[in-house]
Amino acid sequence: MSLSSKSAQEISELLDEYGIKHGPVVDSTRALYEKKLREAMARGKRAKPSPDKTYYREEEEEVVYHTYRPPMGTEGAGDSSVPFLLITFGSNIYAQSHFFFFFFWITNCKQERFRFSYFVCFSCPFRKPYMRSRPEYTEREYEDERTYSRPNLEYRGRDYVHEPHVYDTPSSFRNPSYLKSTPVKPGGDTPKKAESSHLIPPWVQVLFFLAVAGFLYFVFSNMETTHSDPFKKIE
Amino acid sequence: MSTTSKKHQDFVDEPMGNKAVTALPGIGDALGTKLQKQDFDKAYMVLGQYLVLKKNTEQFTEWLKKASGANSRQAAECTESLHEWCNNFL
Repeated sequence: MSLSSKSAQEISELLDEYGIKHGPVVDSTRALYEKKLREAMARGKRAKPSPDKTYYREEEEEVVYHTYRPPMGTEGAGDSSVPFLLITFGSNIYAQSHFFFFFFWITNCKQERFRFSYFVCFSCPFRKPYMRSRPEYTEREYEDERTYSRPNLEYRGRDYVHEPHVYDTPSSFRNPSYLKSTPVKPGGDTPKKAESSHLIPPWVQVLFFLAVAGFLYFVFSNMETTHSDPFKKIE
Repeated sequence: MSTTSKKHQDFVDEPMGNKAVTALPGIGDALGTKLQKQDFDKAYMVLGQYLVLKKNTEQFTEWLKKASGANSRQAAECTESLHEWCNNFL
């Protein structure tokens, strides 16, 4: 690629590409602009593709989220609001409880009762399958909630079976991580939010949040420490 | 620090007309000769180059250094004087 052989128009376009402010490419300015272009090329082209990569990655997350809806088995051709709600509800439950688990973990690092409280809370019907993957995902979950959209999806089908309440909540935990991918989100996500906001008033959501928080705190505070020998008989 | 010399004051206080390139602050005989060899024999031609570069002081300084062999101080002086002249008369 020889810059000298390019036309003035091409040089001008290249300068724009590299974000170099410039005037007309005339005889007296051409040498300077060619030099500028060479320097810019040596530095490496501005990373235009990388933001797309970011979007693509997040879009992948969203797509996985999308495809798990059918197995829930509640929707007919027209009614797609319920599974949307249940997914968001499930995600909220999931996110909230893990937020609290993490909080408790932080405050009781390396103590026995952490594991016990985790166990108890996992004994809730919709949490059973996660018992074996507990330890690793507490930390991971806090760092990147999005990665849990995939393992969590298969359990969402059970959430609505056991929980009588209907909750709306795409927002507090999920939204921040998805805000970045808003421009390329598949259409499925948007109707989810829109519909859920029509059906569930925000105060119910807050109330539920507080209820879960209170419950978890209560459970946690009533833990007994298990420092003693586990094989000792309880009398 | 920019202590404006008499040459600078003389240049920016009046239209440059047909002044030679050596009238530009920072451009002495040696640099002036080099510029003249590249057909920049009048001050207004150097002004023209400054304007064609859209008054981009950084790019103009870079060009001037290359064209005349000026050092940073001399190029900065010339650029500053042209900038001020434009403010006054353009």
